[in-house]
Order: sequence, then C-alpha cells, then structure tokens
Amino acid sequence: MIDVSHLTYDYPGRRALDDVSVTIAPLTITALVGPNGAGKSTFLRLCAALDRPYFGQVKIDGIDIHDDPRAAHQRMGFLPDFFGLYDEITVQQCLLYRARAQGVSSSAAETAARRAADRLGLGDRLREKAGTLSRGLRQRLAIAQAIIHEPKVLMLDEPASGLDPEARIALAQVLRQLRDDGMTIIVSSHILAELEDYSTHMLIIRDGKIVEFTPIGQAAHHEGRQRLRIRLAQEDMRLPAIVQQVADISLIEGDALTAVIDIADDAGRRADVLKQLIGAGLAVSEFAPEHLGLQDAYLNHVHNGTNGATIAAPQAMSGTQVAKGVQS
Amino acid sequence: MIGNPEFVRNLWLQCTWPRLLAAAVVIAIIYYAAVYWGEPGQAGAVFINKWLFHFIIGLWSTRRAAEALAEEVGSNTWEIQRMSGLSAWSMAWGKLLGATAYPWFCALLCLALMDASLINRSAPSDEILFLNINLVVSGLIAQAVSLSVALLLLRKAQLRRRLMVTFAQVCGLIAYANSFFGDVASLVSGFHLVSWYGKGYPALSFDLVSLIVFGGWMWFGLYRLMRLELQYRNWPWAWIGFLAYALFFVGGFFADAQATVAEALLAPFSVSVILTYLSFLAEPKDPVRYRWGMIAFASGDLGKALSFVPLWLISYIVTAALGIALAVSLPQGPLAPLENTWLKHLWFWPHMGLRPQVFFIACVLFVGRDILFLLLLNLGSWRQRADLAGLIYLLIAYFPLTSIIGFVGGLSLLPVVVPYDAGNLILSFAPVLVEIGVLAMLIGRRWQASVAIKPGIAPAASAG
Repeated sequence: MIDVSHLTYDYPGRRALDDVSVTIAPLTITALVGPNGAGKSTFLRLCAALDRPYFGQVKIDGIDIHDDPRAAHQRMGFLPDFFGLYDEITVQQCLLYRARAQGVSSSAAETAARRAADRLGLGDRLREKAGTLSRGLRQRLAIAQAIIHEPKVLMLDEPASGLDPEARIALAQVLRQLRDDGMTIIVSSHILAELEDYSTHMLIIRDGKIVEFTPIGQAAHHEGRQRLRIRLAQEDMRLPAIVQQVADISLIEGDALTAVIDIADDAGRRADVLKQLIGAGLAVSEFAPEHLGLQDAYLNHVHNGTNGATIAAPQAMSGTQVAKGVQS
Repeated sequence: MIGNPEFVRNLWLQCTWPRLLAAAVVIAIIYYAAVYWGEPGQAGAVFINKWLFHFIIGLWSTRRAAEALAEEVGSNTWEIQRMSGLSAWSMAWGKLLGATAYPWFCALLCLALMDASLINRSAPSDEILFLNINLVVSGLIAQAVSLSVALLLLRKAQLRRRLMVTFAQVCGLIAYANSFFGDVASLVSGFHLVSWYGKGYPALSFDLVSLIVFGGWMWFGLYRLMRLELQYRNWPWAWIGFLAYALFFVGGFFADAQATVAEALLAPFSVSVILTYLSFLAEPKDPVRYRWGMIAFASGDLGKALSFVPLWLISYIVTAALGIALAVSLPQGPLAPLENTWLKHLWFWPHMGLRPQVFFIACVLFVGRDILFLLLLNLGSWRQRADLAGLIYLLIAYFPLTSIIGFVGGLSLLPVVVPYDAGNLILSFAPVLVEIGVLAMLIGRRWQASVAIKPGIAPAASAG
C-alpha cells in the first residue's frame, strides 16, 4: 500500500532522512517510533507530500505522490501534530468543506459528512461550531476530516497528545475500526503503551534511518506461524540441541534455561512438540506464546543502540531488507 | 464558481446575511448623505463612492488577501489545506476571491452607486466602462500581489509576524496605485497618445490593455507560487516569460524610430537590474535546494537541475547580457549619446565618469557583488534578517558613503563602492573584482562550514 524507496531529505548541514526504504502492507497499523529528532515527522511529512524529498520516491496505492500530489491526497488522510480547525463554522460545514476539498462530489458530500461524523461519535454535534468543542471532540473532528473521503492511507502524528485516558481508549477503538474498514494507518506517538493497543507493526527510526520494522502483537503470528517461549524448571545444557532436533521448528534464540522457537500455528503440533520435549527429559515449566510488546521491542532496540550492539545494523539491515523480511 | 469548496468555505465565514445587510445599509446611508449634502448633480456621490471603492479595495481587501493565508498558518489549518485535493488554480482563486468576497460585495455596491450617479450626470458610457474595468482589474491585481507576497513570505518562513502581513498589504496597495490613472484619465478623456515601439496608441486603451495583461501575469504568478506551496515542481519558464515580457514592454516606450540601440537597451537593462534584486529578495535562499541543484547538475540531470535554478540567477544572466550589449552598442567617447535620456536625471549621473561603457560593465559587476554579499549573509546563522540587514548595508554604501567620498574629494575611491569610470580599466574594475573574489571565498568557507552534509554522500540524482 505504501512503498517508500530511497527517501532522502536534508536540512542545512544535517541529513534528516538517509536512504529510507520500506513497504507497508495494506490493512496494517504501523506505529512510528523513535527518539526526538530521529526523523519521524519528516518521514510523515514526506509521505504526505507536504515536503519534497531530495531523492527517492513514495508511492501510495501505486501513485507517485510527488509526481501527482493532488491524486495522492485524494487517497490519503493526514493529521499533523499541531492541527487546527475552522472554529467559526459548524462541525457539519467543516466536514462538508473537507469532503468537497478532497474531491467528494457535491451530491455525495452530505452523506460522507454524516458517515464520518457517526464514525467518530460526532453525529449529535453537527450544528455546533468547531470552536466550542472540547479537546477530545476537536481531535475526533480532525480525524473525521482526515477520513471523510475514505482514504486508503491514514497518517496521524501524535494523535493522542492532550487527550484524557477515556478519549485515548476511544481513539484506539476508532483506529482499530478504521483498519477493519479497510484503511492502512501510520501513527507516530511517544506513548508506546497506547500504540501497543492497536498497532500491528512497529517502525523504529533513529538518526534518519530505519533500524527496525517488525510485526508486533498478534501480527507477529504471520503466515500461519507463531513464536513460543519454552522455560525449564532448572538449567539444562541440552535444551538448544534438543529443540533443534525437533522437526519443523526453528530455534530463534536459546540458552540452558529458555528457548524461543518458531512453530506452525497449530494446536496439535504444539502438543506434539511439548510431548517430545518432556519425553527427552526436559523439565518444562513454561510453554507459551511469546508476546513481545511494542514497548519491550522498542526498549530492546534503544538499549542495544545505547550499548552500540545492534544499532550499527541499519547499514546492513536497510529498510527494504527489513520490509521484505516482514512480508516473506 | 460556487463549486469551488475553498471559495464556498470563505463565503460561509465572510458573507453571513447580517453582515451583508449591514454593509448595504451603511453604504446606502453614505450614498444618500452624499446626494443630499454633496455638490449638486451628484458629483459628491460619485466622489464619495469612488473613494469608498479605493478604500475598500486598496486598503481593506489587500489586507484580507494577505490575512487569508496568515490566518491559516497561524491557526494551523494551512497544512491541512495543502493536503486537500484542490488544484493549485482552484486553491489560488478560491482563497483570493473568497477571502475578499465581503470587501468585494461592499466595493461593488459602491461601484454600482457611482455608476448610477455618473449615468445620472450623463457621463459618456465608454468613460464609465473604462473606469469600471480599471478599478476592478486594479483591485484584482492588488489582491493577487498581496496574496503572492504573503506566499513568498511564507516560503521564507516569515509570515507569522503581523508586520509581514502589513508588508504584503502595502505591496498590494502599491500595485493598486494604477487605479488612480483611471481618475486622471476620466478627467482628461482620451488625453494623449502613448508612443510604443514608434507607434501611437490612445492612452486610455493602451493603459487598459496593459493593465489587463499585467493582471494576467500577476494571477499567473500567484498560481505558480501556489503550485510551489502545494509541492508541484516548477520549472523557470514562467519567470523567463515574464522577464521577457517586462523588458519588451518597457523597451517599447524608448524604442522609437529615432532611438539608438543604446537608448533602446537602457530601459530594459534598468528593469532587468531591478528584477534581479527583486527576485533575489523574494526567493528563499535555501542552501539545501542550491546543493540539490548543484548535485543534479553535476550528475547530468538537467531537467531536475533546472527546477532548482534560482530565479535571481536567470535575471542576473539577462542583466549581464543586456549590460554588455549596452556597453558594446555605445560609441567610444563621453556620455553625449545618453545626455538626452532620462538617465541624466538619476542621482548617480555625475558618478558615471567619462566612459559609459565602463560604467555599464561596472554596473553588472556591482549587481553581482551585491548578490554575493546578500547570499553570504543568507548563509549565516541569522538568515531570517539577512536580506533586510544586507539591504541597509548596501544603501549606506551607495548613498551616504558615496556622497561623503565625493564631498571629501576622494573620487579615486569611488570604484570601491559604486560603478565609476576612474580613468583607466584597472582602477575602475579591480576594486569590485577583488570584492567579488573575497565574497566568493567567504561564501565557499561558510558553505563548507555549515551547509555541506558531513556524514554520507548524497545518492546520484535520478528520481524524485
């Protein structure tokens, strides 16, 4: 759905994005994370055709967004970090204007405005002026404006900032619903726990480069496979070797106490493997799906990066390679 | 027109029924007051309504045009606007006519009442028509200039200050000044002929056609600026076209059958110098774009390189070509060939020295020096104020400093600060060439220190 290739952007004396390539699959919610100044907002702005890159290409639904920004904008919605609304006009007028500006025909604009308002829970506030809405409702109206033309891609920069917990939960529900309705979503946020609620993938940017692009949560169970964590009651040096001897599973990582394996997502197969491990004399105390949360994954990377262990990888692990790895 | 959502949104904001009604009532009251208490024969009503039109369009609508953009930027809605599916042209006219819809409503009411009074006074219909077209087109030009300047300031990241909105408004107001020609012309109907490329044209018709063509250029310029803002790639053909038109248009007033080549070239050269400075000041001096352009040029991607070429560079190349052509076309000897031109009324006429050829070549070099000087400031750490500061330095150099040097009798020092024929070529050109060399070296250093990307090498330009 979103194909980014060799995206490069400079500020005076500084490279903000350096040869970034990534392919984001349809119907996913990608959490865009990274430290301040990493290039997240620049990445989003380039993907939204708000800035023009020095080099590289962004295609959304097959359209080169910098060759034909208008056509691309009719297929995408974007909510910037600091968004504004036309406070002097009503919610309905805001939505009607946005629908028409995004190419929705005048006959369909009324319906589109009503549908977007209902989706975001604004159906009973159409006659209110935008300037009278609370922070949470303004956020909803801004998202309603961004999705009014049923874009295939939705990009949100810090959508939950300033929202109370209840509004954040509601926002998560809205995003999941939009994904289920057929949108591909990219969300940039610093609130990792909240991103974890609805994200299917995590894209980490650091120093203008992609250092990781990986599925998280349920999405990690891709193509009928899943990761399991095995833990023993006491250390047994034979654990890695025994695991590797079991057919049709692969060892991701392991030591004398724990092992993470990749296995077919099939209950019968899991029972069979567990039986073999116990039969080999291993004191298995835990045999459960590995759930690496977004926060854990991000902190792992930050930790490793701080120690200089794996962040050097971006040169070798370019965005394209990572993306292909995810898709394969 | 009503299908343009940007226009409609502005109507929602601007033209509510109470506001429209209030405007109509106020203007009607003023009109009847002018008829009742004014001069007999509704002369007072004509005067009042014309000046109301001037006030509404010249002052108010130009402000609205600039604020249309400034308000969007200030309330963080501009980014969303840039993401809309509207074309650059729809965005440009929808925003301009929409934001000024209420002033236009008021101004057109005044115009209608003025016309009614003129008809009542049995004024010639062609005079009324000319006046109407002149006022409306002048207003459209003024608003386009105001919004264009606001867009230019936005590109230079300088639109957030109120002062800059006022600056854009003042530029629009200056562009509106032509509307007063209509006042003069209506007093002396068909008062004389305009000589253009040796042929005589009725002044009123010539002014009207020129105004409409100029208005076309202004609206086209606004469209091109909106394209840039909406992330379309612009090639420099439009600027080259405008440059050629402006030089051709101005040149026509001085190129009659008796004019020498030098006299015919003088005005286009002068206009070219002005446009070089204006285009330099108008454009953002973005070193990153310069760098991209150079890399694209070095890699042989001329199409992409052209889209990065700064417009001031094109203007300067034209200025240099015209300056050299002017110098070559002049006969050897003193200033006699130009003594009958308007040039001798300029302040620097006494400083032109003995040979105008040297003076014009020096002019080209000094324009280059000034551009390099301003560029150097723009590559510094306080680039937001670089243009203004640089202009002040240059004005000090050109005016008080030159006068002081002339006053104390140091004429041999004049070639350091202004174009001047000091008697021999080395003394005339060496100072400015040294200045250019030093400035180029300083720019090179500043470029290396702050602009060039240190880590990594930019990929070869081929896409994007």
